[in-house]
Amino acid sequence: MRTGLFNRRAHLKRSVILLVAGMMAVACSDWLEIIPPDGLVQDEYWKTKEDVQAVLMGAYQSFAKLDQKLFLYGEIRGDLVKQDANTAAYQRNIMEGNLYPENQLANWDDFYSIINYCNFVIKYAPEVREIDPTFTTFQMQGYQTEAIFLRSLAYFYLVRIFKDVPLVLEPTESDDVDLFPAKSTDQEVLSRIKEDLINARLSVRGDYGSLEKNKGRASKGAINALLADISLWSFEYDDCITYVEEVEKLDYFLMPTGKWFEIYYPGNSLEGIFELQFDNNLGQANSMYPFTYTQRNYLASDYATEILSPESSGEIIRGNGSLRDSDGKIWKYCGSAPDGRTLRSGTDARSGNWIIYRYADVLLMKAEALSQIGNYDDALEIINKIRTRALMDPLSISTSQEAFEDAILLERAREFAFEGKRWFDLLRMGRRNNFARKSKLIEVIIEKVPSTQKLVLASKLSNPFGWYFPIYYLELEKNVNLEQNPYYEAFTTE
Amino acid sequence: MTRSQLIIVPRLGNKHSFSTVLMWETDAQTAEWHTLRSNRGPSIDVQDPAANAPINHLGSGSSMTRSVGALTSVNYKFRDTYIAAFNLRVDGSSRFGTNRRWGAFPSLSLGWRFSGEPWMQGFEILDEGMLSASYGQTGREPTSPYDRHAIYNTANPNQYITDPIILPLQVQLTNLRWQTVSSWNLKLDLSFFNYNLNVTGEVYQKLTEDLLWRSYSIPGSSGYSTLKWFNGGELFNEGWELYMRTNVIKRPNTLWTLNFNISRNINSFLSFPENFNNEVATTIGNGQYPRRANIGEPIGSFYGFRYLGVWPSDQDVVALTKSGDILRDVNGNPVPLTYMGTYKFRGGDAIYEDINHDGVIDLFDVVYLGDSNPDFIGGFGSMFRWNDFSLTANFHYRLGFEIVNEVAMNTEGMLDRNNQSKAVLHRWRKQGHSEEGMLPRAYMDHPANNLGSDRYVERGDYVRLASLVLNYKVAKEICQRLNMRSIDIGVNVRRFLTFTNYSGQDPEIPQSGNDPFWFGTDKARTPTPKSYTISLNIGF
Repeated sequence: MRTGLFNRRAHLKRSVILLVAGMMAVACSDWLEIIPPDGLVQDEYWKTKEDVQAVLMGAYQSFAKLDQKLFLYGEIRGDLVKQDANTAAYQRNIMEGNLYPENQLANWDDFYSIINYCNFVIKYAPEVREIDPTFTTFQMQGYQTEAIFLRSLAYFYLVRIFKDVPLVLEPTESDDVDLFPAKSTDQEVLSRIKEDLINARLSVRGDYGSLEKNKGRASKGAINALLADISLWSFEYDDCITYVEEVEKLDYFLMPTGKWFEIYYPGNSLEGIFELQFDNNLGQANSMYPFTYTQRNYLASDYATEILSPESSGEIIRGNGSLRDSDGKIWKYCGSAPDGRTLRSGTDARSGNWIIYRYADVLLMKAEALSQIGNYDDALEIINKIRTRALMDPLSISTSQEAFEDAILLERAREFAFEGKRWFDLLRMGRRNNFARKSKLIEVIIEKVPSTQKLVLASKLSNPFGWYFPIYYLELEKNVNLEQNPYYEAFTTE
Repeated sequence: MTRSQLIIVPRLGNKHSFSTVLMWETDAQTAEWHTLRSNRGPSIDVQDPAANAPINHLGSGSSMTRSVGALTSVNYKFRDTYIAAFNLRVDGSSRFGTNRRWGAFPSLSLGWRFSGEPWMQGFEILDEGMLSASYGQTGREPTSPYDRHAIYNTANPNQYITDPIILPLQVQLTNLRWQTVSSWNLKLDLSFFNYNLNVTGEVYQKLTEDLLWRSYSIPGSSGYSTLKWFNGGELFNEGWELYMRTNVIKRPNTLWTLNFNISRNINSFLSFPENFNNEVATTIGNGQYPRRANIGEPIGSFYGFRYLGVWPSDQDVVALTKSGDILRDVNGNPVPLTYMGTYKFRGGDAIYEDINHDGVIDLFDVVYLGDSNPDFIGGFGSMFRWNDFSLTANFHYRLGFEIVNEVAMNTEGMLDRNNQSKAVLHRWRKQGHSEEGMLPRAYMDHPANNLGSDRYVERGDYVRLASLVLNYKVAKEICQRLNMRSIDIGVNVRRFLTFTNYSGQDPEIPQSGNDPFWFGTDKARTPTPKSYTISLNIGF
């Protein structure tokens, strides 16, 4: 009798277990699937073309936020700026040749977050195309091309700043991807981005519907300008000339003499090819206005004043537009049109764009390439075109590569002062023909430091690896597969 | 939360007892919050943020988590001598992704009360004896609800030109899973002499697998700086503990008890996550101890230079070979002793041992300096009661560990304009100055006078009087006369005595269980206060 009861209980127990197991398997997994109330999750995103565009716009905006950093990377190791009262200590260290892996400007995270956003767009645009019937193949390729352009631009900066860097081409969409990439050589990175740009350049959209968008997003002109710049950096002169000629076929013009400052204010001029857009009225303020005007970070160097000041150089147009003679303030981000002499005011003070490429830039790239292959006449014509526009007398330059290199370097310094180009121009010269003019580069750089530091800095710079940044110490700690730039290895140890 | 239980207790006669429990629980938690912050209010007494002050922050949010658990438990006892229990818990949580959601955690314990065996009845002095062993697993899940998702959200600015922006802000965690801790222990309880002496001894081991790391740093080349959570690595703990308690005097009006315990725990990593860098902050410099973690070595070891005093004068600074001769270069000239090859040491600078005898003080001269884990932790105490008086004292102690005295490091470095301690009065002042125990010279921004070295490493051993309580119970008759049920008068003193040779404020440095790079530094944290309490308890 008692056993019978017990058996029944055991039976009951078994059915309860089965019931429970069944419930758990079916019902619970759904019940445990909870999605956050704010924001969207991966599974919900990438459904419409607007999703693709929104991430792409984030990549542009993240690049625009780098304006001040692009200035620092491109100028402070060069000879056109000098410290002012409030120069940050880490920036002073760089200027004085004390660049170590702890320096926060060695942190490349900002570039890689842009690259990651671009990788998302490149990977997911085709998947969205499958789902969203209103998303045409033409639109999809257009977005992909813009992402490829931004990603290539980010890598081009990285290669010029760090030399060898990890080449990440897939989005970090989950913890399953390889988070610990090793470095690729600068040659590998450059040839990859060049190839990407060549393959993508025909798919770029021709018109985005407004001037700001046409100048502020990737275009045929922007892609060819970037290709020309990459080719020149790799000393592939014929390619460079070809890409500049592609730009010349498009509707870009040198701004006339009297309107030179309109390049900067209000910007988006006929000369602009690619400008990171700012509009304070839309809540998109630049940081260059406060950085160069109110915060007292940098002044024009003595050398910049010498080559640009109307008094010492006769540069009326470019001199008045680039610096304020009375106190040496950097003026391209502060002045207002037409001649640049008055101060920007109101909400538009912080609306000036950061210009990545403009027509004069690609023309001088072409001049540099031409002179390197011995076509001095055409090169000189371009140089003098730029000079005449600025009301300067035409030059006559002795027909040697070196003379032209110097003349173009000087002309670029005058034309693009404080536009984040100088250091890369110097570096291009220093690297050319197997470091043939290394000593000239060193001479230029040590010019600005006090005489007691000249010898030390010169010996530091005699190793070309020292021209590039170290990998940030935290990045090195986090990624066991990274190797420090050999020049800095004494300061970090394995 | 809902919980359903099925308990089955069959009757199995006098010798056996058996019970089983089946439990099923579901839990859902939701939270919603709103915040409102304002500043520049008229007065700190007006606390309502909506009252007249500019509101500078408004926020709100909500969250939800759900979990499901099933437990089955079986307990069996035979003759009150053999005891066995088995548990199995299965948990599912919404914090994990679909494939990693469920965890199963069994546990088993066995006990043998050998004093209950018939053949033990002859041992008069032993009152109670029990040997028990157990094995069990537990799980740990992340604390925040949505971290496993890749979340797309707006950014600031929220447009580029006039087009909206949405960005992928965190990485999806497809590998997030339960952290499991498996532990086993063996325990012996003994009571002798009519329960006047109790002894308990225990040994244990604990293995933590799939260790959960919060905000795990990943290389910036991924576009992100951290994964919200990451599982990886194995942590191992082992140790033992001994507890004794004895009644020295036990009479109707007098009781005096002594107790003592001592324990030792060692924790170390058996493995690190893949790609884990076990040397972080390998840079050296003033105020820095290079941080290292080694597999199989206890957490809490620290490394640095060996400090040997101060160079009396410029001429005294020499680099020596292993055999003690002056180190010379190929031309026979003495090699100057430098810091990292750049700074040449001079009189008044700190002397660091050149471990590899290369004339350069650098990372290769860094050696093991000490261990922040105590060899022994424990306590002892006494309770004395006589009629209506009682006096209780409890001590605790930590023995055999070192502390990096960061306070001394900051106040004796003499590298900056910050205030320094009085110790710096006794420092090197001129060429040839040499005194026992003097500090290096005061030198603004000196590159190497304050490197992480054993100069700031001290033994931290201490014994502390944790509490001392004196209590008096007023006699019943007096209470009754006052129409009260009871009156207690007490004096309670906490932490008012510490015996230590450590020079800082408080050798009781917080311990860390799972940071592989942790070591004990004294950062002048506010010490636990001494407290004195006088109490009067009246019961009506």
